[in-house]
Formats: sequence, structure tokens, C-alpha cells
Amino acid sequence: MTAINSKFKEILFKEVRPEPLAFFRIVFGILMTLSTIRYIANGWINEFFVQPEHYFKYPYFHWVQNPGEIGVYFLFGTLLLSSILITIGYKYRLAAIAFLLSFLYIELIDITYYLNHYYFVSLIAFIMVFLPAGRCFSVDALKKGETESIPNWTILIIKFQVALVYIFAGIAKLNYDWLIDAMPLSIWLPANSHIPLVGGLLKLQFTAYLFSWFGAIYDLFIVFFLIYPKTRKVAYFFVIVFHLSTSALFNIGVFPYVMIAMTTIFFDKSFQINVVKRLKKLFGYTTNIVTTHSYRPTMKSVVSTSILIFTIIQLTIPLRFLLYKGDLFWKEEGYRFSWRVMLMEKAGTVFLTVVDKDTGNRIEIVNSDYLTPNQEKQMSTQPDLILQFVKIIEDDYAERGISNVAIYADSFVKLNGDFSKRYIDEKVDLTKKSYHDDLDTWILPNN
Amino acid sequence: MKKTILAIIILCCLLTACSDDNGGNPKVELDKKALLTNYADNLIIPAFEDLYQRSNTLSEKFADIKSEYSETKFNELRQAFSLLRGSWQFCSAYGFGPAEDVVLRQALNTFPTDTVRIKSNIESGSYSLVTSANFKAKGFPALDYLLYSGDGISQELAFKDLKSLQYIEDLITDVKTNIDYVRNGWQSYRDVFVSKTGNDAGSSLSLFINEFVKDYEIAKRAKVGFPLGVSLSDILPYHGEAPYSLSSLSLLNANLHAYKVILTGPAKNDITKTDNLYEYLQELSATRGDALLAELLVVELDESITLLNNVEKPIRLALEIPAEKVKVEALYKNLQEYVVLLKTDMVSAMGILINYQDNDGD
Repeated sequence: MTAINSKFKEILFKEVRPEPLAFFRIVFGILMTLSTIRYIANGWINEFFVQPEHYFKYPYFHWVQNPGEIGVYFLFGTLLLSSILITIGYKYRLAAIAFLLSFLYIELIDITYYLNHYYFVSLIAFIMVFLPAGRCFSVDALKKGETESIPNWTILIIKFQVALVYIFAGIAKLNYDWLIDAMPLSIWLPANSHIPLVGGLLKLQFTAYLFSWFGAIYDLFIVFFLIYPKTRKVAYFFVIVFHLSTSALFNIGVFPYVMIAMTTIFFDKSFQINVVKRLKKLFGYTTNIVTTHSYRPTMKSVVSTSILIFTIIQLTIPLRFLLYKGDLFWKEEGYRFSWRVMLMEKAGTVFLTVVDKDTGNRIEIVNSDYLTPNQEKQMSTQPDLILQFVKIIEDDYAERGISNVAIYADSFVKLNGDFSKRYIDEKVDLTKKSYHDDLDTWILPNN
Repeated sequence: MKKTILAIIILCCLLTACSDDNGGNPKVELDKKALLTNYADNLIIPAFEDLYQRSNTLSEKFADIKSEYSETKFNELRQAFSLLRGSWQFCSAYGFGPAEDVVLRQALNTFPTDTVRIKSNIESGSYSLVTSANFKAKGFPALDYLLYSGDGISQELAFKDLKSLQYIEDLITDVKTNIDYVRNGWQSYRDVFVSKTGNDAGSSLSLFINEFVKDYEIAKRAKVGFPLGVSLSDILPYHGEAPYSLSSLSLLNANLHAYKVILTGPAKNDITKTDNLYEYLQELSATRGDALLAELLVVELDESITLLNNVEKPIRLALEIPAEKVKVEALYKNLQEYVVLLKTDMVSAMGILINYQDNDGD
């Protein structure tokens, strides 16, 4: 045990060149700068965080409130500024913390916009706070001197995080719908039949199978081919082709570019050393080298224990769905934060009826009176959001002086190639349900 | 090593594809551009052209009666109005492109109309019909009120009252201005519409389908739901469409037929291409039991038309008669169930995006 422990520590704290981490910092910073600008340019701040009257909360983060229009613009301003500061490495640590906090804050306002790649960015941003990424080829290093080496764990943990995304995404694709029915690609690919040249191919059932199987195999194994030096170049070529083609076919925003950029962490360090060297020359960047002391033994233990805890948590969260019984895609218990991407085409319709128990009056709710189209779409297929919506309605009626109500749902969900089916037991008063209740007491089985 | 993996990948794909009965080519060549062209040239543009012609007629008829009132002229005016409004039922679903610029549905057909505001507008003589506050005091519902609420004598009086006459004229001019804009707008928008063949939120098919579904939901709610009291629990007979002219049934009937034509495609069809929604949906081959989604969409819509035809009195009056009200309720229930077919099954099977927000990555 001690032998493993010391071997473990030896790998983690081996001193390595700082350029790969500096390169990663710059790539991450540029990417975040551009994607923040894109977000603002698309008018999404107003559409997603100013216009809506109500917001769907994350579990355990119900206390996060929308900070108001000025507050939201301030958050995006902070995000943009900190992205730029991370890129140039000015007051790096502070910038990394500011980035993480503003990014998390924005994410936590409304779960409607949850995407796995935002979660991925959050995790990378969290990791970056602890990394000495500002000590090489940065404004900070220009002032304080450039470090000659960094501990190996700072690179390894990024590799671990990237690998985790791919491998869990691959495992998630090993299901009946994906492999045997080629769903949902059988729906999504023919919808792209307008694309020149390949459009005709996308309509073929064969293509959906090819993409499904290739996608699963790619996700499962690409990391290993990236790690293995001999296959690395070809593997990275596949990374580029794969992500660019998904970017062309699906409306998935910056995610493909995030992955193309982040997988450079697997390159041999000579690549980044070379690039940084050239960049330094280009900018006429010169600074003196400083050598830092390696960690004290106690600090090593703190760091290695923290890394161990972090990796265990990261390995556990995507597997928590095993604790729930029932259809994962249908009920979505343990679905989020698990690198389940592109796995289902799911749509639904929810009609809520408020029954005033004092008068017996029945009032049908018009969802768009309360929710934006984005919110309504997400709410219609996700049990926890449906209950949040019920609560919004209940509160609204209480405010109007109608507080003794029952709320029933007439709701249908369509999953992948199936036809729509009734989703919620229409006899259940949803005001009596909380997300901690067994979903089977109000969500009908998928059969 | 690489070659082995590649070989395995190809082998797996070939095996799965061959083992699947559905593998191979789809039945008909799917052609979105042909579909969009067909709908633009043979359905949407002709619908707005018809609307435009009928709005011209209404203006002419009004000019006639303005010069000198007669009962015959008044009946002709009503007739022209009725035909225009019937024509509108075949345009309301196309709320994108030029129609979106002028929010055509709200501008022409916001109901219930605000009779108090209409009266005060007429009285004061100072109003701007382009402000959104006056959307409830203009368009077809306001004309419905002004042309049908009184008896013959007061109609004549209304046409002798200069203020009322001016208001009616302004309403007709406003209706015509909006219709002209959209009709003319389509002359240049047509090429844009036909060229955006994608499936993203800005593509023509997405705009078309989303507006269709939205218009259907509004029709269901405003024409049947509100008067029936589903949102307030009390019946509100005057909250429906055309309560004064009592033409709610024929208008809704036209509206439902307009939806059916959207699904089955314009009469002019190129049989060599998949150029209407029905064929397109048939290709997607989603089924409930043995029934294809495409068939269900038509069958269930026909069912609503049948239920509508069962209602014997205009909706405003039917709601006051228990036996008739039950029929309106049955109609509403069917219309409601149909939302699921349209909004969930159809949209999802077509892989259409409803918004610009990014989806989850790969």
C-alpha cells in the first residue's frame, strides 16, 4: 500500500515542463472569450435571463436567484473580462476564480439551458483555479519570472477530465436504441438531407447505423489512441473530422470546438514547447526563469488526497443512475451530469388544469403565459421541471387569492422512434407531489 | 491496429444495416426544396393573393356605401367582409416572413374586440390604429361588431354618423395596408423561403411548422376554449370569433380545412417528388399501432371537422344550450388531443428545431 502510494505520488509530483499547461490556458481562454462573445451576439442574455418571468432551478440550488438585468450583464462582463485575463495570464488566479464563479452563477440561474458541455466547462474552470497555469508565457510571469517546471498532476487531471467525458459518453451509447435502432440519429440525420453532396446519404438508414456505431466506438476508444504516441496523429485527425462533421450536422454550438481544442492536452509536450517558443519570439517575450520549491510532504498528501476524492466523485456521479429503478430515458433520474449526449429525441406536451377546490371551478393553464418556448420544451419532458412548473402555477393562484387548489396534468411524451404516450397519471394532484417522492407514484411507465 | 479497428467498424455497420429490414433507400426521394416551392407557389402566395383581392373588394364596397347609403350596398359590404374573413382563415397559419413583420394575426384578428375602446375611439376621433393598445379595437373583430351588432335602423344611422363612418374607413384601410404589405412582401420573400432548406430554427420548414402549430393552438384556445370557459371556468360567449355576425362555425370550418390542406398539400402536386407534408411524413414512417402518423393527422383532423359540423348553432348561442354545449366540449377535447399529434409527434418525427439555443453536444 505504501509502495502504491509513493509510486502514485511520484507520478503526480514529477516535475514537468510548464508549456503544455500554458498552451492549454491560452486555448481555453481564447475559446471562452469567443464563446462568450457569441452568446452575447446571439442576444441570448436578454432572451434567456431577462425576458422570462420564471426560472427553473437546479436541485439543491433553488436559492440561486436571477440577479436582475444589470446583474446578468455584470456577470457576462465578468465572464468576458476574466476569459481575456486567463488568455493573457494577467492576475491569473483571480481571473480563474472570477471566471468560475460568474460561469457557475449564470449556469445555475435556469436549468432550462443545462448542457453537458457547460458542465464540462464548469469542471475545467474549477480545476483551473488550482493549477499554476499563469506561471509560464503570461503577463504574470513577465513580472514575477517564469517557472521552469510544474508538477505532473496539473496536466494529468485535465487529461483525466477529458478522458472521462469521452469514455462515459461512449458507455452511455451502449444501449438498445442507439445500437440496434440507430435512434435518435435515424430521425436527426434525414432531417439534414438538404446538405449538398452528403444530403442524399444522410437519408439512408445505413448512414444512421454507421454514425451510431462509429460514434460509440469513437467515444469509447479515442482517448486511448490519443494517449498512444504512434496512433496520436491519426487519432487527432479523427477528432477534427468527427467534431467538425457533428458541428455541421447538429445545432450543438461551440462544443465541437471545445473538444477539438481540449484534446490537444494529449499531444507530446514537444509540440506545446515549440509553439510557445515561437509565440514568445513573435511577441518578443523575454523573462527570467525562476525555480520553485517542490511541495512539502504534508502539502503533497493534501493535494494527492484531494485529487483522489475528485476523481472518485467524477467516476461516481455518472453512475448514480444505477441507484434508480426504471427507464432512465423516460424518467431521467440520474440523467444529467453523466455525459449522456445526443442520446434521445424527446418531446412532450403538458396541459395543466387547476381545480379550485372551494368552488369546483376548473381552469386550463396556457403554458406560454408563464414560460418561454425553450422553457416549455424542456419542462414538457422532465419530471422535476414539471413539478417546478406546478409550483409556479400554485403560487400564482395563491397570489390571486385562490389557494385551495389541486393541479392535474394531461401530458404526453414521445421518445425516439416511439409514438407519444401518456406520461403523467392524470388522476394525481401534482401539488401533493415533491421530487423526493417516488416518481412511479405519478409518472406512468413507458410501455 | 488502426486497420483492424476500421475493419471492425465497417463490418459492424454492414452487419447491422443488412440485418435490418428497413435498411436501404427510402421509398420516395425526399426533396425539401420541392416541398417549400410547392407550398410557396401553390398554397401560401395564392392564399395571400386571394386575401389581397378580397380586401380590394371590401374597400370598393365601402367607397360605394360611403357615397350613398342603401341597404343593398350595406349587404354587399357585409358580403365582401365575410368573404375576406373567410379568406383569412387560409392565411392565418403563415405567420412568418412578411406576416411576422406586421404581426398580421394580431393586427387583423385579435378578439374579443374591445367595444368600450371602439366607442371611445369613435367618440374622441383621435386614435392611432398602429399602436398595440388598439389591436383590440381594430381588424375583423371590430368590423364584426360595427357591421353586425345593431339592427337595420342603427346601421343606417351609423353610416350617417361621420365619426363612425370615419372609424370604419380607417379600420378597412388598416386591414388593407397590412394585407398589402404581406402580399407584396411575399414577392421577394418567396425566394428566401424556398432557399432556406435546413432544419435549424431559422429554416423555412421550421418557421412554417412552428407557426402552423402555434396558429392551431391559438385557434383551438381562442375560438373554442375561451368562449367555453376553459381558462376562466365561466362560459364567455362573446369571447369567441365573430360573435355578432354569428359566423363562428363557418370560419372555424374554413380554418380547419386550411390546416388540412397544409397537411395534405396543395392540389397542384408534382407526383414525381415528395413535395407535400403528407408524403414527407409517410416517409418518416412513425406509427401508432398500425396507423401511420401521416394518416392519423388527417383522420383526427377530419374527426374535429365532423364534431364541428355536429354543432347546430353558432358557438355564441350553442354555449347557452346544454345539448349544444356538450357538442362544443367534445369538439374542444378533440382539438386539444390533436395538439399532441402536431406538437409532439409530428415536430419530433421531423427532427425540427424550435429554437436557436444550442443542443447538447456529441
